[in-house]
Amino acid sequence: MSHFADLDRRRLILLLAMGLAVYLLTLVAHGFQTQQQLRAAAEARLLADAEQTATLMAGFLYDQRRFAGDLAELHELETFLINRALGMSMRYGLDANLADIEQAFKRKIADRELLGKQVYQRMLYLDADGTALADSAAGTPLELGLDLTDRRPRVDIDDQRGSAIAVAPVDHRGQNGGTVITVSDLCLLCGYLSASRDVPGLDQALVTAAGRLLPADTPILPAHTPAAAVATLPARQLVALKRWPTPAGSAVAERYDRILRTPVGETPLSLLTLLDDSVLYGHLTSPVFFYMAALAPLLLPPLAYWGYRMRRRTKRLEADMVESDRDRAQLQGQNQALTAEITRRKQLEQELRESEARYRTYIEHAPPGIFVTDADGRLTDVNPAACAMVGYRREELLGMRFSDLSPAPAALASDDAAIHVLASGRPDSERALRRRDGSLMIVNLRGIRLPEGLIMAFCVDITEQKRAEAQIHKLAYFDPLTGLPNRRLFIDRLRQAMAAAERSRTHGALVMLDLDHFKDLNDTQGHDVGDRLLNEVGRRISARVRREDTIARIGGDEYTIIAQDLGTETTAAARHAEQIGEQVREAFAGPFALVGGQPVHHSTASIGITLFRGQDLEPDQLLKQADVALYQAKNAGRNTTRFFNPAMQAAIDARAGLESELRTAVHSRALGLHFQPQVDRQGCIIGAEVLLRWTGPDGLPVSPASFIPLAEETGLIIPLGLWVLDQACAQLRCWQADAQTRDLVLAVNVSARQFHEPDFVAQVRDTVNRTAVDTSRLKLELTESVVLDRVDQVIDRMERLRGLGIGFSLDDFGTGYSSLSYLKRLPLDQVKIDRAFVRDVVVDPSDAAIVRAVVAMGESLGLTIVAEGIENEAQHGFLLELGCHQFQGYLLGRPAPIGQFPLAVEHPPRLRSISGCG
Amino acid sequence: MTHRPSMLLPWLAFCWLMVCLPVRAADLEAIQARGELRHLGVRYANFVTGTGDGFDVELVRGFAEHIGVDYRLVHSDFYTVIRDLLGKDVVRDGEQVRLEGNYPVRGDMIAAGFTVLPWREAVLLFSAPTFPSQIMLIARADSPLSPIPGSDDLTADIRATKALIGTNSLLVMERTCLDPANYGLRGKGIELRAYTRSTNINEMVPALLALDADLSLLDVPDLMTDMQKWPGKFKVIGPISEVQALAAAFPKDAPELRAAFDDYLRGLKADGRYDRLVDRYYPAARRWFPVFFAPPR
Repeated sequence: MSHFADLDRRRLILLLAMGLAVYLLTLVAHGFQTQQQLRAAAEARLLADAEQTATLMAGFLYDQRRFAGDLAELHELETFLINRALGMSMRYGLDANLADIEQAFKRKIADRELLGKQVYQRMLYLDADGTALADSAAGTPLELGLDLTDRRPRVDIDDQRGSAIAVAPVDHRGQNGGTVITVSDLCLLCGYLSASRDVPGLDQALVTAAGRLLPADTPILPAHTPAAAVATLPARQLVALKRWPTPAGSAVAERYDRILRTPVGETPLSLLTLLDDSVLYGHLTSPVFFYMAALAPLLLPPLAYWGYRMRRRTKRLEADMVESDRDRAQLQGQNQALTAEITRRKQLEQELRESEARYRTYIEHAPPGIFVTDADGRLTDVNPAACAMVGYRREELLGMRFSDLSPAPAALASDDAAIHVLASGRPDSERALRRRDGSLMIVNLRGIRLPEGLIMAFCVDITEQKRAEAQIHKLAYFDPLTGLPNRRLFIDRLRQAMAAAERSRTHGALVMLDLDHFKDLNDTQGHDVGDRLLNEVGRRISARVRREDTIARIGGDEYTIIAQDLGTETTAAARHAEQIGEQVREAFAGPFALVGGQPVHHSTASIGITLFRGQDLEPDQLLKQADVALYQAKNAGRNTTRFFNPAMQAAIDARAGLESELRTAVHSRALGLHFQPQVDRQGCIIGAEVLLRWTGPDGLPVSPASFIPLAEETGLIIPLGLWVLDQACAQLRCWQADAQTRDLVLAVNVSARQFHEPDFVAQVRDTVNRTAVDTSRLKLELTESVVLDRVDQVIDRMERLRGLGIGFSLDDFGTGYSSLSYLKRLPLDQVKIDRAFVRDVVVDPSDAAIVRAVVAMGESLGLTIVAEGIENEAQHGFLLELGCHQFQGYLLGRPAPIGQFPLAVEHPPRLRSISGCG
Repeated sequence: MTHRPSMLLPWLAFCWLMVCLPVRAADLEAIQARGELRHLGVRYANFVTGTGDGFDVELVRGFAEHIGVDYRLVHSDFYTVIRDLLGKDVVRDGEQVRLEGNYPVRGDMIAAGFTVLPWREAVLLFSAPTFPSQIMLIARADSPLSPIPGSDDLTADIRATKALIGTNSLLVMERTCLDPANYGLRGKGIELRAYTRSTNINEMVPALLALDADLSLLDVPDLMTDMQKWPGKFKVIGPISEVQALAAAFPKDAPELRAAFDDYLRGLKADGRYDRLVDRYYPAARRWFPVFFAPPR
């Protein structure tokens, strides 16, 4: 069956092949016929294209002829001919017309362009006899050789020069007016060829009747091609070059297959077209191809049978190949999967090893000590930091229990349990551990659970941190010198004591003590010695009071004691508190040996006490009450005890009010200066003392005895003193500007605090420089309190001020220590006997003796003696007799504002006015 | 209260000075300081045209650029142009020329096809010649007079032309280049008819065609344009004068300005700009005055 089927298939294929052969033969025949028609159409199109190009060229030449005709009717030409007809001479008029014609020619030449080139080379106007009258290129010779008798408009081809010459006659009123000529380059026509010259295998050229080819550089014909050969070419017929008599083997025959000549209108010009068959016919199939194609159908049946056999064999081979490829691909896939799995596992192992090594490194170098225990609390691993922390080697620790590191054996079980508790998520815990050398340390412990029941504990040694915290606490709440609570802790304890007193309704007492003259010790012996005294005082007080009482050092040499549970009775509580005060004072009974080998030091304390019961007052207010009581004790002569009472508070408040008003007065300039005259023995006013006066807010004068000490105490005396000095110098300057008062001396009081200001000398210097006063008339009055404190420093400053010309007077002499040795050392000019001696000098022999002694001393030391406080004639006369040099007092003039300052003392009458003195 | 006459006169003189001083014609330095050159031009032929351009306009505009100042054209006429330049009126008394009166100075230089004449040279400074000219005798086309044939002897041609005037009336324009006194035509028994209806020389040919006279004087620059405007309407009989020079004129006290202009003109001729100006405004001039436009040897 198969054999027969195969046989039928072969016959069918053969039959199909033969049918296909017949079909192909038909197609080949039809194609051959179509090919012939296409060739004829291509030739016709070429002829039409060439004819069109020739027509364009002929049209261009026609335009030349028409343009020449238009030129012959040019307006300027008409003007010239008219003027010539009027008889105007060429020199006087016509030459100008001809110049206009030439300009017109030039404009026309410039206006006419073809394909970017000027159409006309030249334009001329010739007279009837051929003389050139106007020439666009005057001065350039031109031989046209035209026949001017021919009056027809035309275009001549100048074969020799390659020019087209258009000729147009000029007629003027029926007369021969000459000829207009235009000259163009024939090569302009080549512009029409330019498009075809870009096609390979196609060339065109213009040929004249003489055989001249344009453009001149065209390579399409050999140079020796005879003109006759071109001329004999039949017009408008495509001629095969192999039939044309060109030299065999010439370049023309090799490059082109055919030639066509097309005449250009009626001119002697022709358009030559040379082209290759491929350009003409395009890529048409060769006839040979069709002959060969006709053989193909005959070979088709045997080829079909052979192809059938080859196809069956190929199919079998392809099936075998596909099966083989499938097996190979399967094997290859399995192999690749296996390789990838091996690679992945190797990579995982490597990462695991690296991870383990990395974490091992972390643990080995971790700063905290790491202990790993099993479920029984036995150490299974430790890191080097843990070994260093507890002082054991790793081998020793492995096998120990974690509880073995506890400081007490009783903590064994609890410590093991603690780790488990921590590992279950509790926060960190602080534990004590014992090192191998037995020392203890505080650690911060934190545990985490590991697989297989293991627990990892992280230990950080915080022993130093704990110690530092304790130290900070101590520094914050305790006095580092005495170890007693400081002010902060004291306030806290006081608050607690007041709260407790309120709860228990019992009295408590706040005792405040201050060492008497502690500053002197500090200044004379130095701070080290002062610190030793403070330390010893703290120790002694602590030993004297009850254990439950709180002793604190709240600053400087001030101590406080909080005594609680003094009973519910106020009197009993006061008595109890007084006893505490007495015990404290007794603590100072013994001498203090502060410096080895040096005399012992004796110290006393002033004590202020206030009672409290409840929290009616704030701690600060209570402290202030104790301070007020202490102040009272100081005022009472020190080394005594005083209780706080409300009257005392009222006095303090009044003093505070006065201070406030004084500050306001200083800033609002409510203070003023009064001047009290000083006179000499003859009664002449020789100067004045400046006195500060203050009128209070109520309009009444405030006593200097009350506000001057207050100003000194509050420091207001500094700006106040400077202001007084400044005002005094200003007044002195006014005096010195007047001849009548220029010799007056002004005395200014200087307080101790002001004088001891570091920049006092500089301030005085600035003031006297600024006010430009004669300083020999300025005198500073110092009290003994000034000069007795830091005497060396005082002398130095006085000397420096004396260098400026300023004098010094010792005020209130006799009321203080009146050390004669100081009088000798101090650079004084004057001593003022205090009013206390003057008041009774007439009736009290002692005062008279003192005054006499002072006057004698002053004369010995070269000092001027001034008696102040003179209120009556008896005093004045007596002091005159005693030998006082100058006088001051109400008798001689009360302190008054400068406007009321008397320049003459009217009483007593024997005193003379200043103008009458010296 | 009235002012005394003795005080009024100096005051008026001072005011006049204040008015005149700021507009006084100035030399080069003052013009450069002012920053503007005022060109006195007269509408005439193609020197100053009615549209504001012209041979002299472009010439002076280039000069203003040359000296670095702005340019301003001030229109005048041939009767007053010298007065506008000098602030004085020119009075001719025979051969004597004198300046009279005081008038505002309106410009710094004249350039308007201005002919160099001896009496003008007495009061003005002229630059090097900027253009040639010549005075011709013209007649209407229907005039029985025939143009002279012309020869190489200009003097003979002038004599022949003047001889043709005879008893014909002649149209002239005084105080211009067409003033008959310039050419010895006064006192010769010629019927001179001064054209006064306009100060524009361009009006001479229309006046001739309007039968104002039998003949007219006309300068060549006008002639070259009028022959195009009225072809066949009039004819050129022959020359009346020698070839004249036209030039820019300056006040006598502006020698530096004149020198700067001459320097500028030399540069203009050397670099070809001058030739382009001539070709633009007077293309026929080269054929009329071949000697003037001959390239320097």
